[in-house]
Amino acid sequence: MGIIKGSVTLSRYRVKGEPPSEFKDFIDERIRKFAFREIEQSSEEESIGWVSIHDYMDTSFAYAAYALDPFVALGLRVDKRQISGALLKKYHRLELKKAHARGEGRKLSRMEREELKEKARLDLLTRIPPTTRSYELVWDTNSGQVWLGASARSVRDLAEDLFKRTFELDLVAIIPWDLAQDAARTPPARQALEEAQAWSLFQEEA
Amino acid sequence: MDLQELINQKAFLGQEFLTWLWFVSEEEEPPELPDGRSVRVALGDRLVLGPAQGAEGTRVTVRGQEVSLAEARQALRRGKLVEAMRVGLEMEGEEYWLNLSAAELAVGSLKLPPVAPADDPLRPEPPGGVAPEGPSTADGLVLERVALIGNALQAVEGLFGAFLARRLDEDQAAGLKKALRAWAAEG
Repeated sequence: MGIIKGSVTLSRYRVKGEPPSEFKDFIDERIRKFAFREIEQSSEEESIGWVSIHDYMDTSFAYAAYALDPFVALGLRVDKRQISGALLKKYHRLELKKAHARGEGRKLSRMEREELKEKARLDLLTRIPPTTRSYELVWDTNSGQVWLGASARSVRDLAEDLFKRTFELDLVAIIPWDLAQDAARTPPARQALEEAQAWSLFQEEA
Repeated sequence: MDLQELINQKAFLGQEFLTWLWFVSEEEEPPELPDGRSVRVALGDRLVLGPAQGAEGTRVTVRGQEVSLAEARQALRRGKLVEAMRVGLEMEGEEYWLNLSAAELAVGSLKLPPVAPADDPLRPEPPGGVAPEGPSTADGLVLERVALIGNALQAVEGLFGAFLARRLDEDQAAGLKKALRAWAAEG
């Protein structure tokens, strides 16, 4: 589920703040700066960045391919190495066993045990390929709205954070109250909205 | 009263709006959007009713049509309101299906009308038989999808606006409340 194919699930935002006057140059520079970086050949745990909305392997943005005037259409790629607790425990135990053998049975301090756990974790990170997830984001620069093709809180947090770091603009989630305020345009309607009380519609009379 | 408090206090509007959509799907002529298009509302195969804001109680989830709706209507008469639903919106012969939740009015599992692929024989021929300069086919499809999503969102917002216009208008509100009560009492 996303925006460009299949059924659509959306989180909607308003962009808060004014983009700079040299908007096109600014976003081109910033998108490239925060483009996705591969971690396949490293032991980094996580990498997050912008990719083409069509292909998460494409970070070249040739001919500013993200610009579909008035929209900025991007993919957000998240690569993460995940080590299960059970796997870490197993390799921690192996490290402890080796350390015991080296130390001829000397009891290890708590700090030494923690260090060996971290060593096991780092060793595993070099051996486990990252999993890739990608999401779609469309920014309507005319209306100042952003659509994210996901609803999970964790994805929304990542997108909100990356958007802010990239464009130095905040994303503010659109809530029903905003829509109600948009709909109630006249002062009397606004007043009625603020004074509205819940209807007890259907309770059967006792 | 600060903004957050106000927002929390008005959360019932989402529940009332979804309940009104159900009512509209059964009782009313297709409402009109501000741009003049009318929207035919159809109830989908999922309806979740919960206690009205501030009240305690359990949720009732019904799936499928007709038979289980009796259970939903009973819940309605016990004072519950719609918390989430799958709803169909038909505009200008195009049909959209989506999940709506009262708390956020967030759109989920939105099924759009089909986008004709570039090699579809039914796709209109470009003038002169030559594709115009402009976005690539893939980009064109993105733009078409974005336009369709925009249509669906406009419809939801337009319907919410139409509901609020009646709900907040002193003269119309009493009639709407009466009609909703009569509808709930049926069946």
